[in-house]
Amino acid sequence: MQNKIQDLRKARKVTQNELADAVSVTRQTIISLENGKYNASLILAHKIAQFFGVTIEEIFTFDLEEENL
Amino acid sequence: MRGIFCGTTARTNEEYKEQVKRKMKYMLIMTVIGLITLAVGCYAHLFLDTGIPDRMLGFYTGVGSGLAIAGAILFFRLRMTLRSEEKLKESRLSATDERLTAISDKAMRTATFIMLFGLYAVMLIGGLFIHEIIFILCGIVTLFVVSYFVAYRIYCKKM
Repeated sequence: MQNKIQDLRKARKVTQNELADAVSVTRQTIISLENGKYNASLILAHKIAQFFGVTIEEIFTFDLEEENL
Repeated sequence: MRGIFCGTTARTNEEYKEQVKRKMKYMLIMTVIGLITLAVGCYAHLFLDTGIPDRMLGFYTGVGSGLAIAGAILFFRLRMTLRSEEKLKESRLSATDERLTAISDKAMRTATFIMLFGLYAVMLIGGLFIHEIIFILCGIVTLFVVSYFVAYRIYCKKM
């Protein structure tokens, strides 16, 4: 699963700490999400999408082949 | 042992405060259990006619003082957390963070696998020398498997 969290965050000049605070996770989780090391749950994905004012699909790209489906 | 002792679903500092207060009570209970263990060891050593072997005395005093000291330290740490909104928030985020929970679940799975493997190895080798060990370890593994299936059934109905 790929995501555009870092692009959106940088475009809006939001720090990792600010985003982490807004969605109630640790900064390390934001770093892992941006690096693609961790996939967000549906709830977290929803919170992040709400924070940026976009839809989940605009941030997260679900790759069927990558997920072996 | 986040998955076992630190699970929380608190969404706000106020909700988390209540859970921290409850945890403080558990820490007090842990300290008291430690002191009781220590007292039982000392009592058996000093007043029982037969006494207890030095190794067992060491076990009772070691476990008792360890539990009492750990309980007291954790109690005061939780009290400090409770007094600072910033620390409370930090602690809440760390306790509810979904990535840390996922890491904890994976670590727990690995530890469970290693523990079962270790138990089997002890049962296989130890059983040659002390026969009772087979029955004790079989009992522990059975308790683990039964509680797993019971918990699985319960959560199947809930989710």
